[in-house]
Amino acid sequence: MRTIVLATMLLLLPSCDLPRDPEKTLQRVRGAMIRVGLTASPPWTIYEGDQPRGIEVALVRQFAETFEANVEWTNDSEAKLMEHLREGHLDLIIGGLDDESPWTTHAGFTQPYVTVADKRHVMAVRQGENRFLLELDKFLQGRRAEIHQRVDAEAAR
Amino acid sequence: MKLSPAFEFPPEQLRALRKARRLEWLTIVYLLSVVVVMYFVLGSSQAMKTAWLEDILSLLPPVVFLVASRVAIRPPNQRFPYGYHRAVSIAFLVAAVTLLSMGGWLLIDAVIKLIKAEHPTIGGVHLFGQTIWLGWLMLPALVWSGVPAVLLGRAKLPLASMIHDKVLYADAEMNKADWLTALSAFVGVLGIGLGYWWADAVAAAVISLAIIHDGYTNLREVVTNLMDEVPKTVERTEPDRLPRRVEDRLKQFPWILDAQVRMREEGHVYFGEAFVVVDKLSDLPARLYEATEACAGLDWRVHDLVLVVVPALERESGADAV
Repeated sequence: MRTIVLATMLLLLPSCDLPRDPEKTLQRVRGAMIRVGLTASPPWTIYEGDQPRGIEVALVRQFAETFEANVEWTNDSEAKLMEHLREGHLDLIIGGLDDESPWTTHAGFTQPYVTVADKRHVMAVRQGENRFLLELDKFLQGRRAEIHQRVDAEAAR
Repeated sequence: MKLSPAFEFPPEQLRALRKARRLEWLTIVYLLSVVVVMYFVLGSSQAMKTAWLEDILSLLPPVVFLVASRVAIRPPNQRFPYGYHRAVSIAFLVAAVTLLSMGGWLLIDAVIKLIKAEHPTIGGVHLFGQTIWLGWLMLPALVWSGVPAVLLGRAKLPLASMIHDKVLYADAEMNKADWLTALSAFVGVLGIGLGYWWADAVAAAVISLAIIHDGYTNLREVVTNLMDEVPKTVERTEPDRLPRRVEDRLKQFPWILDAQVRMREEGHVYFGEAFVVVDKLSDLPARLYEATEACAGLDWRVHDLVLVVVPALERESGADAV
């Protein structure tokens, strides 16, 4: 048994591009377009005029840049967005979501990347797109200090 | 009221029992460590959840054994003249039903996930300033849940035969089969990593089938036992030769013309009746006592044998099938 396990590990570990996305989200967005849904939730997401802004909007733009991808924004209610996400029409949802979000049957969530007023904030991705999720997790966790500063600056305003 | 004799293990069995108890304590400590380790890396993998619940359920047989092996040897009293040997079977029945129903529930859960095509989401985990895929932590946790269990199972198996303890035997067998659970979950997690979302639910289904199998075999064992099935060896492969040996021993007495024995298991030991046809009636009480003692001397498991004098014995078809 241990031989099988070891053999499997040895075979697979070098190909460390795991995990992969079942629906190939990361491959599709690279150099192309990330489809992001947002609900207005200041200061995280603010929708005024035709361009969204806010802490999470800025983060998503930065994240998209690392793949040289553009962002296509969809503004709707959380319920509508979650349906779209589940059906595969969106890649990512933002809007002040926290880790007590009830949408666990519709979405996968990042690790909490900042805690404000006892709310641990997360973003939602399509379920099972584990590579895309891992890249987003890495991106967010690597900027925890920076995000914290931004949140504090918003609060001071 | 005439009480059944108090039971004590012979020295060799007592040593085996003490060793088994130590090993079962070790099993509990080990399983608790597995449950804690697995809890922190569960993610939303159905295979991991199922393997984790299996680890929790694996705690039942050691606990049953530790409690029952204390209760079973309590001396008989006016309220329980046959003693407490059956406590083992009752505790075991509860454990078996739990395994079976939990296994069934987990199987349904896995199949639903498969039908609904739920994609297991496993993201990153922030550890020592680095974000790595949680799946990489699941794999060593699964190895920890599998390998020591097999070793513990192997160590307990010979002890189970020695003290004729079916709970211990079932527990050792479950531990030994744990590598299958660990390997299934391992493959399931690697499958998720490779982008096959269904690998997770399939692995979960395989594990729940293993739990159902454990529950079913244990349930069959304990129910047939409670129905006073003819005693079998702990491996359940064949009927125990002991009743036959008792019968043969009785027939060796020149004054016993014929003898038939029926026995039932209660926990570690056997109770039973021996029906004998005698030719001389002088000094019968002393002779019967001598014969009973001779049978009890055959094996420590001949615990409470009652000799009954009958005028004749019918040879029923099938009665000698043993």
